Amino acid sequence: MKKKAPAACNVPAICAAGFLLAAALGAQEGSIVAKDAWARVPLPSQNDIAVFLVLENHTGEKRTIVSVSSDAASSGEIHEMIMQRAVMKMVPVARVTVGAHGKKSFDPNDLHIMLFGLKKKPSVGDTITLTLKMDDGTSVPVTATFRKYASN
Amino acid sequence: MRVTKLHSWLLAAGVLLASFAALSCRRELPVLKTGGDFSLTDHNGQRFELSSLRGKAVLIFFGYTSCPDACPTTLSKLSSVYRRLGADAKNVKTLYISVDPGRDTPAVLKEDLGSFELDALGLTGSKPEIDKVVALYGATYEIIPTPDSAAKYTVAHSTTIYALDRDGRTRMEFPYEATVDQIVAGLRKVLALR
Repeated sequence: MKKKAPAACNVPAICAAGFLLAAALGAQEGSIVAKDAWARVPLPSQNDIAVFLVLENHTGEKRTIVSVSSDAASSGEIHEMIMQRAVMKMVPVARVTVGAHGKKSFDPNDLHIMLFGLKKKPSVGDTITLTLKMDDGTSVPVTATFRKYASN
Repeated sequence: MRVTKLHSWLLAAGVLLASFAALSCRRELPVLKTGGDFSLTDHNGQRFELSSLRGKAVLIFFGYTSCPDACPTTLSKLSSVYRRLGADAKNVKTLYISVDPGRDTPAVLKEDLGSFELDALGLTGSKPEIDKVVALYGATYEIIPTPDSAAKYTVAHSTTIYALDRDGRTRMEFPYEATVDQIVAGLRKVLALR
C-alpha cells in the first residue's frame, strides 16, 4: 500500500506534465504564432504607432489576417510603406496572407501593423497587446515591446 | 646640383598632383541645379530665411510629423550623424520642412524635434510657401486621402536629404537608404569646401 501511494500520486502529475507539454507543442504545431513583436515609442505629437513582428504559420493551409484590434488603441490596420523613386508612400493593405508552413515579416520600411489612437502614452520597455483575427475565425495574440528609435 | 634639380622636379610634380587632386575634389562636388534661398516659419513661430545660415552647412529634408516610419527614422539617423561629427556638429544645421501644414503647427514640430539630439529647426508655412520650396529643391509630395483608414489621409513625399554648403548651394543629395557613415563622409567634404 505504502509503495503504491506515491505511484498513484504521480499519475496526475505525469498527466499534467504531458498535458502541459502537449499544450506547449500545440502552440507551435497547427497554429499561427507571432514572434519578436515590437514598436517604437511614439513622438510627443504622435498617437499612432507601427508594430513590427514575424508571423509564422505552422498549419498546412494558408491563412489570411482579416482584421487587427487592440484594447489599448481605438483601431488597427495593416499598412505598407512603398518607396518609389525616392518617394515614400503609406498604403493601407486590406489583407495579408501567410502561406502554409510559411512566414511573413512585418518590418520597418515595409509591411507593418498600424495602431491608431493609443489610449496611453507608452515608455521604453512597456508592452502593448493586440489581436490579429484570421480568416478561419481564429485569433493570434501579439505582445509588442516598446523600443526607442535606433539608427544605423 | 643634380639633387637640387631632382628636388625641384619632385616639387613641381607634387604641386601639379596637388592641384589636380584639388580640381578633381571640386569636380566630385559640383553645385547642383536644385536649391536656392527661401523663407518659411520656424518651429518657434519666427520668420526664417535660409540666407541667415550662411557659414554653416545645411541639411534639408521634407516630411510630416504623423509619418510613422520614414521621417522619425531619418531624424534618428541624423542624430547619429551629429554625434559622429563631433566638433564639426556645430557647423551643421538641419531643416525639417513639413509638407503637412494642416497638422504640423510650429508647436507640434518643436515638440517632436525635442525627442532627437540634433541641431534642427522645424519649418512650416502656407501651402503655396511650402510648394515653392518643394519645387525649388526638386522634391515632391502628395496628400492622399485614405477614407477607409483612421489616418484619414497620408502624405507621400520624397525622402532625399539635401546637403548645402556654407554659401547655401546644394552640393549633395543623400537617398533615404544612405548610412550614417555615408552622410558623415559627405558632410565632411561639404564642410571642407571653401
